[in-house]
Amino acid sequence: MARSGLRLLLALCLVLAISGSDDGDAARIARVQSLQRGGLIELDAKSVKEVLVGKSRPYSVFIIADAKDLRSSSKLKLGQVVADFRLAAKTYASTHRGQPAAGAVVFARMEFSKVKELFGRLGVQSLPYLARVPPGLAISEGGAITLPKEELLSPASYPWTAEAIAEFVTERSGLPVGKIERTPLISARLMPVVSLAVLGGVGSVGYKLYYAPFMRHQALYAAGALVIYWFSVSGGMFNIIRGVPLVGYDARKRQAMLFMAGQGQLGAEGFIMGSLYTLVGLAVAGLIFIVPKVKDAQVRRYAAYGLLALGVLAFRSVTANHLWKTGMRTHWYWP
Amino acid sequence: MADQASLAKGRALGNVLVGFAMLAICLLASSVRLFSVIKYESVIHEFDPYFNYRVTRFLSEKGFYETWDFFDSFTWYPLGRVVGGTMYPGLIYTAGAIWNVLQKLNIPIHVQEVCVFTAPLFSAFCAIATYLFMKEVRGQGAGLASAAIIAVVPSYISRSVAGSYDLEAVAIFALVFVFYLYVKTLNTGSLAWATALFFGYLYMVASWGGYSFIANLLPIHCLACIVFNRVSSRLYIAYAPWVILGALAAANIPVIGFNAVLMSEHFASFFVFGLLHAALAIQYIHKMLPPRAYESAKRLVLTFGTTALAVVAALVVSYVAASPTFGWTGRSLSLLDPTYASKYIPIIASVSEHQPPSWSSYFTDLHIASLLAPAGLLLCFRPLTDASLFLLLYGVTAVYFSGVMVRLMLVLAPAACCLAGLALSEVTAYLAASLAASQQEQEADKPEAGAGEASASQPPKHDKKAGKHGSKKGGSGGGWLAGSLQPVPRDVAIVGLVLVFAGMSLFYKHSVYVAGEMYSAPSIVLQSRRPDGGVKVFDDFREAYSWLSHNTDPDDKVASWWDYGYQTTAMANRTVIVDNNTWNNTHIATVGRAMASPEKKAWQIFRSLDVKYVFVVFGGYIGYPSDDINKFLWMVRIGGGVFPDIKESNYLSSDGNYRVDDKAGKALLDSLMWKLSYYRFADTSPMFGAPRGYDRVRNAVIGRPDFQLHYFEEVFTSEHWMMRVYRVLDKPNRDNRMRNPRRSKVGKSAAKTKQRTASGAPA
Repeated sequence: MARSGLRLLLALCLVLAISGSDDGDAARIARVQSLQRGGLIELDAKSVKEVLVGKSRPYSVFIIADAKDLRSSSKLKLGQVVADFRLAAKTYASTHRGQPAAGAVVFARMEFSKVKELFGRLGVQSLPYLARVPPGLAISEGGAITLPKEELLSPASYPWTAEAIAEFVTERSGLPVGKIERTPLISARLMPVVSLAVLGGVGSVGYKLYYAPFMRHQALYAAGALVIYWFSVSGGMFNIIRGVPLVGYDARKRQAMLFMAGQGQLGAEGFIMGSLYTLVGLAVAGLIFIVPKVKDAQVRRYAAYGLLALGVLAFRSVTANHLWKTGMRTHWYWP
Repeated sequence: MADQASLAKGRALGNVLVGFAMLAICLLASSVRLFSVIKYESVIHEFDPYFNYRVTRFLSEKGFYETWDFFDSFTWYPLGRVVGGTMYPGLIYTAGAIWNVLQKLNIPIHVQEVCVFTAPLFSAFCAIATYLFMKEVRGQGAGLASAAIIAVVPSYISRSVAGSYDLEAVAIFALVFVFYLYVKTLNTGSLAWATALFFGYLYMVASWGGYSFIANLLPIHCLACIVFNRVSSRLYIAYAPWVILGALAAANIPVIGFNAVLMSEHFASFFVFGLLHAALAIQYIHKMLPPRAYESAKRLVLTFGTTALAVVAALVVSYVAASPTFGWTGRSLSLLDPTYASKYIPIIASVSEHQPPSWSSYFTDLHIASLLAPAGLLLCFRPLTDASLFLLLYGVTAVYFSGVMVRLMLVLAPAACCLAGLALSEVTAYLAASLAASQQEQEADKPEAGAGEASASQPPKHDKKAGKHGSKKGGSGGGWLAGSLQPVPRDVAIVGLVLVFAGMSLFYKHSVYVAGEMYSAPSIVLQSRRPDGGVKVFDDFREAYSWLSHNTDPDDKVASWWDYGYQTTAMANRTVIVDNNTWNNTHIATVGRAMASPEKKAWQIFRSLDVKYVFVVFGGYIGYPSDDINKFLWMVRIGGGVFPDIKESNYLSSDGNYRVDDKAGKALLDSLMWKLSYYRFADTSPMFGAPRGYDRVRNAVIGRPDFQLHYFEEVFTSEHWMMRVYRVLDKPNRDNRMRNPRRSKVGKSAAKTKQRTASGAPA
């Protein structure tokens, strides 16, 4: 009797446990799904606990790492990759809408400034980072999360497209994401009409501009030529092609830096130097264009001295900075 | 009458002075480029010049027609290269012609000497062409100043020192000369000059691929003239014959051929050609019709034209939109986005001169010209003539494109020099005229001194310049000091002139220094200073090439990275697999793949290409930084671009860096490049007091110092280890797998023995 009672209790407990966990899973999926915005969860301290912590989870979590500070780095293309990740998440949600599979995969984004400690727990040293947290992995509150290597998407194929991310999701979780559809800005049928309108608009604006009186002012073109010159000697193209930030960050001194030693340049550094280059030319131009037109002899003298001093100062700072940058100390060749 | 006579006399004196000044400038331009011969020896420099030299030698031996049809079987084995059809022949025929003339004059000079000194000679010509160009644009003063600047501008020196027998050596002269001829034709409207323009352009297209810059700049100028109502018959005579005859001229150069009408680079000229006709027709109709009829005709044409254009545009756009890639090919993308090529095509991005320049490059390469050029840009507007508009457009487009790749700095250099020369001449003229005016005032204060004497005692240069401005600006209110323009006081003028002189002196100091120290190294012979002040010469390259030419069979094929292809064919006279022409990316990728593969696979690749010898350039022994290990990532990238089994990440350490120490990527440690570079290297470093296996370029102890070669055999290593030549074995070494009999007794577990052998621990 006692033995059968014990058995019954055990069986009851078991049933209760199973049904309880079933209930718990469904509830947990519902809770997690309620956190999603457009198929994606933005992780913060609270949702990390909700989504990840536990002996196991009834879903896989795909986490992409993002950092506000690194968004400006054009080489990393974080913005583009995160957008593609979002697209994959959205596609998954729409493919499995209303089906049980909808809750089986969770897409999440972790942002460095919001969940610094999660980066530490996952051991993320560098971006890009996209990983799956498998359902069976036990995660304690605040403990390290060690993922096997195959759960990380290899950076070899970086930058990841939505298709590559979808493939990774399918490979790891066994669930299809669905066909990724990128909605074009304008549909193909509307294209001719839109481009005609644009063309017509540009044409009529061009026509108007062509006959506009201000377009006949030479000053406009002179300024344009100077701007192009200034942009080019500033290494503006260098900034674009290499994707250099405007201002660098000195990790040792922990402060922003405007100039960097050695080869290459920072954006602001280039523009400052380009301005100095142009300034010398402008001082000389001022001497030729403005000074001869000044009526008063004394003012003319001061203006000329001022412009000469300006030119010399700008020239001096260009040479000094150039010497600092390249270390090129020239010397005369005397016989 | 007497006034006129003295004016004519002054002008004649001025011309004589200009002549002497130009002579001095030419001498300077040539002699500043001779540092390389004085410091090193009369030798051809770098890489590409060796190919040009080799073809010139061929020309001097075989003659014009043979060279035109030259098929080179010594390169791109097994493909070969149709040299006659893939090179710009201008430079080679120029040097060949000079050599022939010297032979006719019974001056027995070797063709190599002619090649070495072609560049300095043409630099002098370039100074003359610049003078002529600027004389047409603004007058003698600007011409002289520009010539004085371009004679020593570092950017141009970098490509035209003695021995730098490169296309640019003559092409920059041709470029400026074509501009001169164009502006001359524009100013005179003479058909004779238009003919000269055709011949000049023919020489330019024969000399350099950079002709496409002209092919687009002239249309831009013509278009600007149309937009700003500057169309004239002179413009037509300058532009229209050039479009048609120029295209024909280009089509006659085999390397361009039908590209002259098929490639998008040339379309602009034809498009503007049509526009010019339309503009002239409108002008004509405007003159013919009464104003009201003209207005209604204009409205009619505009309506119909717009409708027709709209229909055509709609058709084109819908066609383009229907195609999956929106009809844009990589090529048109690279045209729209100048950064495309340098971002996505590794073979272009790998070349250092295709990198974008940072701000410091401009000052290094142009110095004061880059600072004065903005003033020159503004001066082009005062007054804006057709010629100064051309200079303006040249300056703006050149400076823009120079920002994309540092190589185009060379095209910017003449523009910057002309603009700076313009500014320099104007500011000097103003200050000097002010000085003269103050002197005249003083003379006037002292009535006993004669006015005639005063003007005679003035420096003639100032007189000439003041006179020039007087004649040029006659229409717009007299010379510098005529009308409302006032002179600066005497003290300011003196200070200003001193500053101008100081600035120019600094420019000359910089340029001569750069010519002497930076750009004169032939890079085939290296120098370094000993602590005691003496000079140490590294002649490893020629040592190895001559070893190859003396110790290998003439039919042997030699493989190396493509940088050394031209040198190998020219100096070692052996067949190479790839060279600097880089026309076949797959072939280069094959060599890159071999260098990046493990020894056995590399051996198979080289055997399949009949390669007998492989050499690598290695700098770790003496600290020569541009060696193959440093170039290796490009081999991986180019190889990986064609063969996906090569993955760059495998060659990097786990944190994504390229390093050679014990954290180096596994594939790097296994690669053939590693083995050929570091074979037997580790034991040399203690000679310098460095730890065993210390690489002096990478400043690290290498990750895998000890290994054996199974498929290659070291046959030659040059004095400073910079060139290491290996023979590709017919069959792999067998003895190297034999076990040490003593060790096999001791070690029982096979795994243990294997491990020891692999790590190569000495017994």
